[in-house]
Amino acid sequence: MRPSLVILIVALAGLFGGGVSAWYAIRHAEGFGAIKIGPWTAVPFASAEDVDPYVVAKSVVEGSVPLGITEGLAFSAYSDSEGSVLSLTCDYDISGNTPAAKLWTLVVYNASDKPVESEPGDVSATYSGAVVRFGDGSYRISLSRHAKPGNWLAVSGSGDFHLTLRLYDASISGNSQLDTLRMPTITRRECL
Amino acid sequence: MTRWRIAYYALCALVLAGIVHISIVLLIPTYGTQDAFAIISRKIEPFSFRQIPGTGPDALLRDIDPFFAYGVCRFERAQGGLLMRGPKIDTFWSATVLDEDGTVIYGLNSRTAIEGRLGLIVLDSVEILRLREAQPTEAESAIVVESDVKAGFVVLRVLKPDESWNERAVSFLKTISCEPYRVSEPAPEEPEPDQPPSG
Repeated sequence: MRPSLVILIVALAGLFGGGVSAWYAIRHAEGFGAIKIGPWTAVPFASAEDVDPYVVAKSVVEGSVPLGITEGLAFSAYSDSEGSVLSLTCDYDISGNTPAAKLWTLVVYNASDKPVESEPGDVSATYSGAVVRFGDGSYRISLSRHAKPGNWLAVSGSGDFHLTLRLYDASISGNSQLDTLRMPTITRRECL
Repeated sequence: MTRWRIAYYALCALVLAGIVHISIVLLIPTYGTQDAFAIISRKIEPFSFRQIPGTGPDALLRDIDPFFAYGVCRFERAQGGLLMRGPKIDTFWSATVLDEDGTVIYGLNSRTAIEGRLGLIVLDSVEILRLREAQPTEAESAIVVESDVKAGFVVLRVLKPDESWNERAVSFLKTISCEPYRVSEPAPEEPEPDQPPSG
């Protein structure tokens, strides 16, 4: 092969490989500092001094404004505690405890990152102040399309969904504490 | 021989791919046009605090928590520092200062704010020195953030636990002031009794 052709192929392969891998890494950015607790993943958006470039690039591409670590932490779950993808056609129990925080909100998003609405204009979401707890402070939230006793998180429609649990003013300061955090389990009940 | 040559070419391509990968990731914040700051810059004038719709077709930002009402204030260093003030409200709120790239510079909330009131001053390091000398009254009830960014924005989130809170959250956002701030010379309107220089 002629040298110029080889250089061209090497250059194209490099550009293509770099571009694709960068795009993939940014899209799926969990950064190196992602916290995984069961099905939940959070990407702490640290202070300006020590920030993950992939997380920044992702927020730029998505046009999102992440929560600063002093503000709170957003955990997302795309699967239940067994690892199966979350589907609106199934019922789920979200039970357990949340890390200490001033308040938390739990929102159901569909596959295109829009909040699921149980009825038009009525977003499928709940927050710490509206949840009834057991004597020991733990709680169980039933996510279902049909009315449930206790804490019922009403949803509608079909398809995959994901949950985002945002802890506000959480007393999380260092990574050492993050390891011992406990998040609720997501258990699948019957499916239609 | 040819096998080594192919391996060498592959290595070259790999190194190039690595350089391209790192460049893209690091340059996106600088050249990206779809980021929150770019979107906000197109819609909102500097130093005007605006409530932004969280959901619906005209939502400005992604990743919005439906339990919160959002407001944004954009600032440009060319016009001075930033002074942001708001009244007391019973519900939880938090304010995040971000730079042009969307990097969080500072965050405060109703618990960490002074007397539960929003009071925030963003100044660069030179102006901070001036502020320490002048000690204006605004600085007593505000958290002072030192940052040398050229421009940025503050996102304010107010909790509205249910619909009955909508109005209060909106009226709270309407009373937020967001203005350019320069450290003035010692205030002329309130001449304090001269104190002998100590130390």
